[in-house]
Amino acid sequence: MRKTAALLGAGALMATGAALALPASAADDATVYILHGVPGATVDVCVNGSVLLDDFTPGTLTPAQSLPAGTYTVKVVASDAANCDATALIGPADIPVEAGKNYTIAAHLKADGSLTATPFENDTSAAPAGQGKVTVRHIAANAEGVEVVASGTSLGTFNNGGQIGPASLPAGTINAEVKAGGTVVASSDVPVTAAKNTIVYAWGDPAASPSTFAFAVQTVDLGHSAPSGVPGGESGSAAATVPGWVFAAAGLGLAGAAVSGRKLATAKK
Amino acid sequence: MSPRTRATAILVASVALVLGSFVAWVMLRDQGVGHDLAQVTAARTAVEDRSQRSEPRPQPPVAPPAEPAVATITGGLVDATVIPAPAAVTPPQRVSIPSVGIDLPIIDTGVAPDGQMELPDDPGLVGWYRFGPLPGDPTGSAVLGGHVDSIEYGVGPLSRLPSVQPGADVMVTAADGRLLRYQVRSVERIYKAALPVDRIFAPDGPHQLTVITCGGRFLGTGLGYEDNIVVVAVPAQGATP
Repeated sequence: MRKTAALLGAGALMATGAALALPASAADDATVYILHGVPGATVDVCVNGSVLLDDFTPGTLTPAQSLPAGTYTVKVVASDAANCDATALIGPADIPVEAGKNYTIAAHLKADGSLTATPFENDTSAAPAGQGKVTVRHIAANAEGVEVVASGTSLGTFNNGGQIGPASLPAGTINAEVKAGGTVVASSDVPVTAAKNTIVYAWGDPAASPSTFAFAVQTVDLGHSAPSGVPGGESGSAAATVPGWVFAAAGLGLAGAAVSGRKLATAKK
Repeated sequence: MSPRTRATAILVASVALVLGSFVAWVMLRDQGVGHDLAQVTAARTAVEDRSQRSEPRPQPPVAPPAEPAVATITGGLVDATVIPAPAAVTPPQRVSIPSVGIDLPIIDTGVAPDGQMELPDDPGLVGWYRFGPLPGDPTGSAVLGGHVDSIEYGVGPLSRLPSVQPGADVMVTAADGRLLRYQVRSVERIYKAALPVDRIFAPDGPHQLTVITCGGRFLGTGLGYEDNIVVVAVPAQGATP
């Protein structure tokens, strides 16, 4: 987008900036990422009429944006467009975001190769201690009904706009594969990190020449979970032993009891 | 006083001595650990109070703008097509508590299939919980845990953990050889079923080192001990971090 338009936009933002600069309570905000999943098209992303992303390149993910809950009008224009009023490549689409939720809005190809934007809600709920989650999303063209295979296990098939998971898995590495008609069209090792949701996107177009079908990955923090306890010992040999003075004192008491008991018996006679 | 009365009195006193000596032992034993439990609880309450004070004051309700403007994102963009490599973390090397003669190598451990913290089989080793903070991290609780004893290896050095006194030095040799100095803040014996795991394994908050093993009554093979011994140490003053 042209510098002048950006500067004008900046001026307009400064006018409204005071209100935005106030840290809103986190509970009232939504967390939003934006993923560019359209191969070969550098674009500008406009939100509510102003530029959110200038010269956004394919395969790029934004950092987490904390936005007040509400409905945002998202419009994607060509990167050389004069301003946000230019002809839309995607949208304008009204995308509602709710407080306390976490989203990735993906700009991507539909099954037929046309463009769209899909808001996915990201799971941030805690996995068991030592585990992470894996989510797989389909945002690719010409790849309906592809099969997802994780470390040799089929997770089923899905279509454009679909999602498999999230599934909780022990931290480590899995091999993720997408198969079309039994043929592997994408394969990669993907780390599963404890307390993180690893989201794998299958994007691009396997029918393009050459194929632009590929994986993109983002990670989202999960809630924390602790181990259920600490075991700590097994034989019992470190259990507290009775010290000698206890036996000494008890022995003295027993002796006293014996002597006095006999005296008592004698006195009875 | 008749001989009979005197003999009865001595008998009663003797029986009292037998029972009393055991009662005294149990009471003294239980006093040994958790001497500053009240202090710890008080400190924790103070921390909680502080956190409550720092909560943002309720803001007067502001009508949300119909179309909130957004600022242009200028940094922090990442290339999502680069699949991240698994994070490799090297565990710290050693932990020592010189006042009770503990000096043990550290290995990294995770979570056992039953959901508890995984511990090294050998009570001569200490496990660092790899899904939590590292000793020397700026925040959170770095947890070191070990068995107090084992059927195969016998009683380990962590059996001396209950004797650690508040203020004692705890040293951790980090993976890179740095010596991290901590000072014991509390020694607690906590009933296992009531172990505050969220506090012990806290991923954030002020940084501390937590050394944990078992203690108290032995409930039998397979059941282990009734309690955990939990030593909390904080970075020593003037030390890094």
